[in-house]
Amino acid sequence: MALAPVLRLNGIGHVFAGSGQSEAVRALENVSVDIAAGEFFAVIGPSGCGKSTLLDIVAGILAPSEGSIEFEGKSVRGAVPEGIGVVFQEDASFPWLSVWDNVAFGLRESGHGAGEISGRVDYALDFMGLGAFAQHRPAQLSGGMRQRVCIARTLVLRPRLILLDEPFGALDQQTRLLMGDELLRLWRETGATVLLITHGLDEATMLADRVGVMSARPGHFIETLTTGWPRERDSTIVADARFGAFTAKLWSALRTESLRALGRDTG
Amino acid sequence: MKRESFGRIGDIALACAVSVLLWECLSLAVGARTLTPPLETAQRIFALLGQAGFQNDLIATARAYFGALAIAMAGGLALGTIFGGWKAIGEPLEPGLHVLVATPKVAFYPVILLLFGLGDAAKIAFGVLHGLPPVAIITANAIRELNPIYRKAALTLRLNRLHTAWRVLVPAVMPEILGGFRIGFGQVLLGVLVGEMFASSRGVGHLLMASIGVDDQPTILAIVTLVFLFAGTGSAVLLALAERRKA
Repeated sequence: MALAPVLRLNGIGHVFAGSGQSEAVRALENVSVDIAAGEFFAVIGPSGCGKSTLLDIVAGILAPSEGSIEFEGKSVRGAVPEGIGVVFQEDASFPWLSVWDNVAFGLRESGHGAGEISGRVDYALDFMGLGAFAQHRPAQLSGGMRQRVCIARTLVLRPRLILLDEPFGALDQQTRLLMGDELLRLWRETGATVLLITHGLDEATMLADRVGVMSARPGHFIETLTTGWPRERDSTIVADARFGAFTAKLWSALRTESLRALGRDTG
Repeated sequence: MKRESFGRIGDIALACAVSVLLWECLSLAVGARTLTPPLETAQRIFALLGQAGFQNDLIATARAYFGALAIAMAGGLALGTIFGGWKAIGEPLEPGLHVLVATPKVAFYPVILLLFGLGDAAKIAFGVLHGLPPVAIITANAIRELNPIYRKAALTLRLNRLHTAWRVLVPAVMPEILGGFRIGFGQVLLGVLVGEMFASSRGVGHLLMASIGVDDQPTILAIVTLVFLFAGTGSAVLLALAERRKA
């Protein structure tokens, strides 16, 4: 990798302590990877392999049991560092605020001036195609539009690292492809580094520069594959023969682990 | 005002008109002596509102009611926050509140009279006894059921603890808490009126009992209508506020 890593995970492990009759669960074990500035890195893995736990740890929401994380050379532990933005799978928009106020929320909290807030929010809403819905409440929008509100709320803070936890998981296939296009556009225009957690092999193939394949729990990277796509790309690459070949390659790496996660004998 | 609001006001107006019509029909069927008709009731309401004695009763009830309401809301909110926020405290103690809700509060009346004697304090205590438990239970439940995504979102927006609580968690639970206030609003009124009916020498509840004693149907209906209008308006305002927060 020519560029210096903006994010470095070194031997990350995490154990969820048991409570009462439930036993402790080791979710992650020795997860290590370097992600370069401006790179789009996707993580796929079987259900329950610790993908979302990994994202929480990278975001600073959860302190790992083992290992260390560095963002721009500084250690991340127990607090979300400035420069990291997170979009979750669940709808995290605030239903008591309008779309405009949702997007402005983080800027107001960080003490930006009214003029700057107005300019940045209007830009983010236009960028996400939400300009006409600025005064709507989230409940008046579709699931995809609400997710765009959450992305816009993250985007206005101009994060240098965007963490996405299955952000399109609840959407239908067509909307996911279109949202993927918007995400790629956002990635190119902002120059941010993106770490995407997804269970969609096709989504990882279409969006990422590199894909980290995780094992069944306790999760760790069993393979890291480079897609080789140009930076200028969109959802039309799904028609490319290489798209199917890469997706098949991912599945080949993942199939045994998915069977293990389901408790099936892999022979 | 939005078309939706006009529609709702229209629905309420229609429901009121139908209720008055049914009341008139029922009064005709059973006789005005048994059920005072709406017009005569309205005339009695205006007559009562002009009497100094009734005004004093109204003030006495209002004083006890708003005192009890403030204690029930603040106390229920505080207790619910503790029970919902701290599992170790809420788990063993909250079932006691559920038992209290299910118990007929009249059973506690002798105890309250012994503790507070006859007067405003007993009426307030009776109102609080009715209103506080549902507010506390609903608040505790709202806090327990709060979607954890809001807390996570607050963390990723780098809010401090105070701002997380004030700007995210409180607005997130507000619709449910307003729902609790709505129930508490009616329960406190019930408690204060029942308190006045059985152990007070003034107040709207006392007047109601006195009117029952002399079979003064127009006054009974006038008081019932006033109480109904007050409770209905308060409940509708709190419901509208809760829905506005949810929308």
